Amino acid sequence: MAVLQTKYVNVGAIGTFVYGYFFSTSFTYGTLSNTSGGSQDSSLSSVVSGAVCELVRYATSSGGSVQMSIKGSSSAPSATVFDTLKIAGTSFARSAASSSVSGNTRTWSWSSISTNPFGTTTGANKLVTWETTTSTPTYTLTAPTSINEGSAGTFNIATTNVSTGTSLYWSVTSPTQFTGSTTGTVTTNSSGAASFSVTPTADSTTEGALTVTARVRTSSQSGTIVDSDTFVVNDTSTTPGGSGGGGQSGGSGSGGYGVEIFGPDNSSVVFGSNLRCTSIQVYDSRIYQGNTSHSFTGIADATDSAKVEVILSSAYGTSTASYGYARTSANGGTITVSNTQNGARTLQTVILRIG
Amino acid sequence: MSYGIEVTGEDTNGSYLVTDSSKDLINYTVVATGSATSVNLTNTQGLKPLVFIKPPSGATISNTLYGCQFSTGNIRTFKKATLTYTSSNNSVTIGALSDATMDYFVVKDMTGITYSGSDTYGVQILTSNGDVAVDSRRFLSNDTFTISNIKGARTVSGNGGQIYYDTTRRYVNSEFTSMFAPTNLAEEQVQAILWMTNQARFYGYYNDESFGPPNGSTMYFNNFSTIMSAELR
Repeated sequence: MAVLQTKYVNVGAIGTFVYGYFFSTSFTYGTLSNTSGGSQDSSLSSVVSGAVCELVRYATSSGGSVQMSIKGSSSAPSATVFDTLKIAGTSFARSAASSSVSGNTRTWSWSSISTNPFGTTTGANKLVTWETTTSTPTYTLTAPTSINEGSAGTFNIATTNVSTGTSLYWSVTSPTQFTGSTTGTVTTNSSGAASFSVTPTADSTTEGALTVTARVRTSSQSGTIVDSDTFVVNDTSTTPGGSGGGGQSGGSGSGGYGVEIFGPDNSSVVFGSNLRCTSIQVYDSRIYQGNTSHSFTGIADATDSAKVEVILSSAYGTSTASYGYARTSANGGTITVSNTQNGARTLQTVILRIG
Repeated sequence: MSYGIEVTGEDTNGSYLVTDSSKDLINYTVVATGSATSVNLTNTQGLKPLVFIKPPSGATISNTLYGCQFSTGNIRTFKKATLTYTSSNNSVTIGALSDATMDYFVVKDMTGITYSGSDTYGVQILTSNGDVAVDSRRFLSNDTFTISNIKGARTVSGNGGQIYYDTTRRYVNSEFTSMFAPTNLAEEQVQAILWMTNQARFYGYYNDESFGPPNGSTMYFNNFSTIMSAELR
């Protein structure tokens, strides 16, 4: 059994009748996140590309039932996109569920469930997984131990339980140190193997050996990293020397390169290439009339919540207030802030670069 | 990019962008830390100053809401109040507010930091708009911070929704908080934080004579603003 996607439900409740997670623009209980106690993230892209989970809950009525809904990006998902839903260790076979479609949303229901898999403690964090009987794929990337500057090195990818012709996306760090492509796509052959090559630049500069990481991802260049390996670029192309004597003798760098800014104590690094920093990319405050939106474009990595975060602020209001934002890759990355209630509302937007 | 400066890094979680002068990134940095009942943000604000707070070790946290009030002169005063829950009608109310000593740290973007010295050396990076993205003279503190968790606006229940879960007590930003409770308790408007030993929870609610205790149930609202938890490194 392979796990397609893992989530955590921070259990919400309606009275003592319903426990779990539900999210809509007008009503919400519970939280669905990628980590225990993490922030809301309803994406189920590893189950269905572009889909989100709208509901996973237990209801005590009519003998007890479990419901789970997935909303597709343009149409309702197929009824067979997973084989087992597991909630806090309890498995629910899809084959035992009934399913129905409303709009782009499909809901699976399991009836006569006497035990509440979420428990009755609101705020508890429960592991939820969507699983398939398909065998777990494996990926192994093998890099050369080292590559000389000016020479090509070949990287081999071995896979198991991966279909022939599957696209894999490779990349190497320190791209400015290479000639030619430093990212690319390869497809697996009938043996499940693929390979690619990179060539470190013969730069005629003495900078010492450089350790580089190669990665393989699935789905896209921003997809899940399935394996990585490191290799050393040997500094074989050095600065041409003069004929005179003197000068420093050789020696490779220590790898302590990059940028550092120290704080007032002259020892604490407060900014630099070894420190994840936080920056404001957009600050905006405006009145959103009812059911209107505004898009901020040119936000690189807008779809990656590990790199870009959006902070919305608004004044006190009513329980019917409804607003939020969406991420797309259009126009160099777009964050669209929307006010989906009828009345006007002032929203302050701060877009942070966090990674 | 064809010009300017770009700083990237790499750690166990992958590569990250530290700054890029072509992306108009204005660096956030810690400007003050301490433990006090209020903090003065001074007149230079920048784009969006943030004040992160948490109860000091040993402070009372059981059934205690924490938040802040905004005073003139850019002073934020930290407040606390005891929370009382009535199960019969799922209502909550707080007692009188009192000053609270809080551990805090303040972050500002570079445009909100004034360098008062005369040094003319170091590193300065400007955005395409001419704003200061990074200036080595404007790092006033030796501390750095990291945002641990973000809860989007309207996603956290005002009836004790979870802000974070961690056995290490985290700081939470205070901008969304407000605690308004007249002495006659006729009306309460509260958006505040309840720290527990392993998490923090959000309370956002409204009580008045018609709806609130003792005549009715509390009206809970989800968070109107994004809530962040953070840590000093």
